[in-house]
Amino acid sequence: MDNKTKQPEKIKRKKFFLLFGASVAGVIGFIKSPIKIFSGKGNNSNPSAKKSSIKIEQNPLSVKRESKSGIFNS
Amino acid sequence: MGKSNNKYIDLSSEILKSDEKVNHENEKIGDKDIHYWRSFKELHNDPEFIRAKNLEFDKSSNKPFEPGEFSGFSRRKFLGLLAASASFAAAGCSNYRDKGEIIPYNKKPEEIVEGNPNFFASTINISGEPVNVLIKSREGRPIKVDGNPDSPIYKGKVNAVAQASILSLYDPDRIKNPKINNGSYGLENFEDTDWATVDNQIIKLLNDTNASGKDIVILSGNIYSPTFKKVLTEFNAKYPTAKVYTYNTSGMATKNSAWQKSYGYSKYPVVNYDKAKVILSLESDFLADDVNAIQNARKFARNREIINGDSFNRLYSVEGNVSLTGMNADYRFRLRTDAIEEFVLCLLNEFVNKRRLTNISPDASVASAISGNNLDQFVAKYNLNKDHISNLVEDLTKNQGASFVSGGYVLPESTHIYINLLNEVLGNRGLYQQLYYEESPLPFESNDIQDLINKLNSGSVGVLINFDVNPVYNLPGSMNFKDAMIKAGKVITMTTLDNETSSLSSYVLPINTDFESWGDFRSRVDFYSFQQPVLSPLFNTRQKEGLILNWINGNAQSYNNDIYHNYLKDNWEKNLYPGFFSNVKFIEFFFACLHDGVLPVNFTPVQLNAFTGSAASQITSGMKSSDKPVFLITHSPYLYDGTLANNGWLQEVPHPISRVVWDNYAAISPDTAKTLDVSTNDLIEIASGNNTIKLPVMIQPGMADNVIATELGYGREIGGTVGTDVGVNVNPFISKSNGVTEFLYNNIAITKSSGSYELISTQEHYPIDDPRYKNIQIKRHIIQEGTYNQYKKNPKSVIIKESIEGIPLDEFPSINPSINNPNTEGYRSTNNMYQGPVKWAMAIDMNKCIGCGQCVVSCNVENNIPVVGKEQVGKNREMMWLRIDRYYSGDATNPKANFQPMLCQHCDFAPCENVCPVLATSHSEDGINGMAYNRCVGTRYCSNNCPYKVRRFNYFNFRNSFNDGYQENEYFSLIANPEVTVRSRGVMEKCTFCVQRVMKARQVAIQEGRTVKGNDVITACQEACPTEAIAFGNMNDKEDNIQIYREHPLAYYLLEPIKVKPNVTYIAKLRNTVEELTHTGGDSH
Repeated sequence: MDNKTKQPEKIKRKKFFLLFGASVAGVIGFIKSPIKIFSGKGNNSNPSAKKSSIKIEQNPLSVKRESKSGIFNS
Repeated sequence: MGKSNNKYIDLSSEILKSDEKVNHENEKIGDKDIHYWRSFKELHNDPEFIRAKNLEFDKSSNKPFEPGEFSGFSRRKFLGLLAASASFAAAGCSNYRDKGEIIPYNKKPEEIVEGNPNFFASTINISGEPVNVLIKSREGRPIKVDGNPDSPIYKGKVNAVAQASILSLYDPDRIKNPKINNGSYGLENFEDTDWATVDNQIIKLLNDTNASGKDIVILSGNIYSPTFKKVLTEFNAKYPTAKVYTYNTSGMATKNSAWQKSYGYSKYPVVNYDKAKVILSLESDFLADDVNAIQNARKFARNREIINGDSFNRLYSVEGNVSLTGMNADYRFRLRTDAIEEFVLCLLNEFVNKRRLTNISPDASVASAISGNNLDQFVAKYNLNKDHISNLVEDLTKNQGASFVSGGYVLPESTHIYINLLNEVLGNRGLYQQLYYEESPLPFESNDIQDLINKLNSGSVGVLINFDVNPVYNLPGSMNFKDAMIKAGKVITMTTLDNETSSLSSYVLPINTDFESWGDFRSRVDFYSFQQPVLSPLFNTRQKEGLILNWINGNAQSYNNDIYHNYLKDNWEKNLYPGFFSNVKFIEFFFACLHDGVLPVNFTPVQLNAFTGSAASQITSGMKSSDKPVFLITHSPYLYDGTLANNGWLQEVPHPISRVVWDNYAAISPDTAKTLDVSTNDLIEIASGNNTIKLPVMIQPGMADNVIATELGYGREIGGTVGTDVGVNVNPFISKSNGVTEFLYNNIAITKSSGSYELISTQEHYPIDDPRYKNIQIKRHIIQEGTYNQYKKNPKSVIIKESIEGIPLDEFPSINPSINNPNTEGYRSTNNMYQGPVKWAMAIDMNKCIGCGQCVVSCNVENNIPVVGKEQVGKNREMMWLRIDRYYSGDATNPKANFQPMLCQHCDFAPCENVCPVLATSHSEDGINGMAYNRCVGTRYCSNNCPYKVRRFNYFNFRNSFNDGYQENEYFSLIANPEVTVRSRGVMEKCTFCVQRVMKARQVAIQEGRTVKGNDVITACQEACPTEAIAFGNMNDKEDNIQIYREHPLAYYLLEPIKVKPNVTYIAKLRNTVEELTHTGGDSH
């Protein structure tokens, strides 16, 4: 095998771990940051954490009926 | 490749180059010219249009692939970046699908069964009129509005505005708390407060104002509620300086005043169009732009019955504007609007003095006044078709007592009086039904708005209460209400949304929508209507009548959510129920009223008074045509007066005539456009007196020359997130003194303005009559029509039989040969591969379809169709599953129109199903072409293959992309029908024949141990159609009603030669003309 083929320069172990640690710190910092670029537009960002402010309550005094324009007009 | 010698057609040699013009002049089948066109670009073979037709998807998606453009990049670097991006994204993304936990009811309300809807009869206010509705509710959440089948007026149908009104309940822009102005005008100067604060301040304000002797004015729309009238009486008793002013935006002022002078009743009556064999419409859009449009359409369609009977009326239309009624007319005449009165006088002269009809003898002075109007001279002067006018006169003469002349609301009082006289002369008074409830106004009530403005200007109004009205926007600009209003001591506006009036108010009080309110109405003598809330108020809002009651009580703490309910019940128990002499207890009676939504009343039919002869003889100056252009202002068919401008569905449904969305415009004729040197999208300025208005031009086939028409309801300055700055506000232009009427001006000056404004029209979208395949295209017969006489002579002569290379389609072997008898039946074999007990099919009767588009809005609401916005519609990306294709034919200056609802045909051999690489679209055993949205990967091959172009692709998550996620708002999301999937980006969708309704019916049938029947299912479009043009049923059931359609001589299918076996039957349109269809020119059909 010809050893003269140029190989890409290997990163040294110390440098690798430094870079790895820096990227982990960067990701954690980004998650915690207030900038939410992955959240959707509108008011639905992280909806599971937000309680809905709307309460749907059928009016107990209203009188319901069956539809007359078909057996089931769903 | 040359043309092969075998029987198959080699299309490659038939494909035209994109810039090759198609000559339609010699295209005939027999004697018929069968060329249909949808726009001027298509008619004149505009090269750009032809090129655009070749592209199904947006031009920008056809950018060629250039590998050389990619930059060099090492593989190692790429993989490294890919890994980093993936970990980055994984760390940052939240689970967007997680909407929280869903838990079942801990304590289930008794009236709710999960998965089953409840229905509530109620009444909602649409454009000032009470509309009887049936509201569908799921788990306490109203999701659909349809007509109340028990309503004598609506009989289960409502218009598009009412269909879409459900959105007003969940509008994210709704005001959620009362607001107080901090001293300056403008929305930004309001502060939220609480009800106790505003009530205390307002009660004190009312007391102080009353004590000072200044007026307390309540400005309202029409008041039809007997209970609310009682409230107002008590309010006036508490505050004696209180007055009530009412106004409405129906535009019926001149028609009503003419009726008052003619017969002594204050409101124009209901007309029984089903009794009319001949109808003459004079600038009258009685099928669409009328207070009684739904009832009129139903009655009119009863006399266009070719399926279950045989009666056919004849409709003549004389108009300057292009209306839906005009486009459905058998004979249509273009005539400038200010000449219509002269035309009526000519007809009167013809019938009174020449033909001497004896149904009524007009005053001698009237007979003398009309004698100078010669019909022949008029016809020559305005270049009308003499023969067709003769037909009109003959028809009216032969059908005395069974004809009707209808005048549009834009016409002045004098014209309406002459029209009333003409109907008397023709003996048509039997068609009137005086059903409107005539009640004297309260002593302190007035409809003289000018009087109110004078009082405001004089400073004698201490408090002005805008009772759910928006006068700053709605009232004519000439009245200058805005400047007058701010002179009132204090202004209180009750409204659901911020608007032009509330922004100038001192207090803004958020009120319940109709879906959260109690009420009663009596607009007609034959029944009462009831309103009940389907759900408790969503926000911190109150019922507007309850607010007034609270102020009468004088105690801010006395309000509760049931205050008006208790008052209503109490009023009925004490004052109204005794008059019914009912055998049941009051509480049962009241519950029954709420259950039905309407309460029929025994009444003595009003005998119409004799025509007041002096009404006509006292006309000193009638309408005369001028030499200047005419400007017409009408209501928008979907936005009406602009109240629901914030409703995206109504903004996006294409205009029934022009197919324009999201804008109003100035419609002008091609010749007028040439004179002004303008084309579509140019701007023109229209001036009358001191008022000017700038509008974009839309060249509209069929407009009379020198007539310009536009629509109200646009140009809202404060109209919500969706409705603000859409179109041009026409109200400031309106002036009673400048024009013939508020809606008609014949003294205008028009100048071409600089600049342009792009109007988006869907009329050229999704053409299925591609001229590339020359021979096949000629024979495509998208529209098939004939005349009623032709049909009577030979019912089978109307439909042009399909053929391929001269071989009739019927002679082709059956694609579906039965196992026992192959090749025994032709192409239209009733044998089919779906031999189960049920196979769903639809039929559309083009004789009854008037193109109103109500089916489209109903489908949008039922199937969670997103609004995409004007820009996306411009790129052919509207998402409506159902579209109404409008085809013109004949003379470009006065064409005929055909309206054809187009939806998924659910073909037996659907070409879309074969090409889906992931089997996302497949056929069910009951004949429905279904979509599995979660399988779809968005290749769009199915849409490419669909010959009808009925598939819609979600290029974006439109709920997210339109107006910054407006449709994903937590309030807006409540409108979604839980029975229909909400589709996301990258997914194809289309009409499903309301499969959710089919499944529901099947479930019930299984529970009941029977086969599901065809009439168990009513699709949303079928339910909404006011003329019953759509039928749906089981084609495998010989007893099903759908068979009548499928076996009818007028039945045909679209694009039969391509053998996809569509399951939507169209019934060919018949025109009730004396002549055979020639599609030739002239100024009428």
